[in-house]
Amino acid sequence: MSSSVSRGIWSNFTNRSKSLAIKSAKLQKAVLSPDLPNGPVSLKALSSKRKYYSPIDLDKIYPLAYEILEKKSEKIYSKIEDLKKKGSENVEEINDLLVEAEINNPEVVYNSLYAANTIDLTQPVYRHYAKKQWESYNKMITMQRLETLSIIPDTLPTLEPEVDVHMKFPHNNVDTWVEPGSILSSNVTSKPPIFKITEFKESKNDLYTILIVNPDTPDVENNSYTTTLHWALKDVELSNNDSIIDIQKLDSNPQYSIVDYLPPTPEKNLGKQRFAVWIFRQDGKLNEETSKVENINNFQIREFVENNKLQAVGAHAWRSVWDLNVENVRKEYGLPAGRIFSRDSF
Amino acid sequence: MYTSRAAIRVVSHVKPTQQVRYKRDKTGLNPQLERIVSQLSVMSAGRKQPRLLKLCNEDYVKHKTVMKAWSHYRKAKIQENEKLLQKQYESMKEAVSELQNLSPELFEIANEHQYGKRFPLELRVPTEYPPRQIWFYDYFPKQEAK
Repeated sequence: MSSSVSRGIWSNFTNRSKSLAIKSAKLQKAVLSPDLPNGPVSLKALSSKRKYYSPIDLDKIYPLAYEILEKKSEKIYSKIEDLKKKGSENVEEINDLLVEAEINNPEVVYNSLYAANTIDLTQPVYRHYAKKQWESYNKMITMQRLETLSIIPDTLPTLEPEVDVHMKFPHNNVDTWVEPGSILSSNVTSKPPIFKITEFKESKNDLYTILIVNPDTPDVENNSYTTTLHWALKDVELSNNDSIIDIQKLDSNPQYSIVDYLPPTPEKNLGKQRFAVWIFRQDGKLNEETSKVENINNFQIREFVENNKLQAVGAHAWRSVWDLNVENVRKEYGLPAGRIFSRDSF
Repeated sequence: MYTSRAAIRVVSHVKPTQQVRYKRDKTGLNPQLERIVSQLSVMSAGRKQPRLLKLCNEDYVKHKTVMKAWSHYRKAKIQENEKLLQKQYESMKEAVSELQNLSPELFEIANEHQYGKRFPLELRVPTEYPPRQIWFYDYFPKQEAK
């Protein structure tokens, strides 16, 4: 029996990206061999390695299956060549064909199943797998939280999500993303958040606007609430392979900021405050005049969005409540002393 | 005491008229009940479910690849079959329309409704393969009783 499966288009990297292969040489050898020449590499414990047996005759049938799928892929690649020769400008059609050509490649399947954090999103097939993953959980949970917390329609009428928004705060070195709608302490939110915005379409240097608003600021005079703008960024340039907005990026691009970060400092006895993060895709650079914000304490988000022709593509949310650390945050940012709401004041 | 207890055990569905308390018996169920329990456990839902395959990541990807190739192969076969049937139907249709052009009388006769004629009950459903037993060599007709 040969030591490897067929070496066709899926082993040819002259026109294909190197990121379509498995990075680890041992794992790649295991996936591209009919059997497991070095044993089950992905199993860590020696005991489980020893007692592991591959399914009977998988080593005989796998090369045949690989060949069938690879030949299909070869046909699709030749179709793409023909389209390119004709000078087709339909990028979407070509991208769909590229997805179809690579979707069954065992190496790609392996990467998108077990190395989802390091996949190369410039490749259409990886974007396809990432989108499927997002739609199966994160998209639904985001929409559910936005609706149950009434961020839709209290801030903007609705959202048709197109991007996956991940958010975390740099209060410690633990690399965990915040689940939408969770209640965070004032210590956590005292520094601006870090965003990871994953586009599922081809994106090269697209511009984004990010707003963080709190629609629960009390307006005692009118017996109502106003919206406070806590952070506003514009013209943030992102691509498929450069999707993180962190302090480093903001420091090197001071022109991104419209309004500097104002940390949540909820008043005592006011209950939970909602903080909605809205991500907008821009048509082009924003106008200096229209994108100016004069009054952050009575921010009209719908007006702002309409004036700047922004398209909401993603959202996130968290909640804050008064805690003992709020005073420290106020001091740190030089904010005035907080009010304490009680029944007597009415 | 032992005998009376054994009698109760065997005919367990007959409830004793008087409730009697015995010393706790650790030997377990009687053989009859045990058999029923073991039979039930063989039929339980957990046993009917196939065991989850415990595959390492590499083998899981290989398994997925094989299943995908198999579904592609099956799909191609079904499509081929459907194409064949479509061709057959087209040629039948063509033949009938040609008959209509050549001889409208014969076409009328061919399409005449045959009243009272039903689908014959003896007709077997057409199958793709012949039956396992082609001919009953040992067949002899039933002898009528005199």
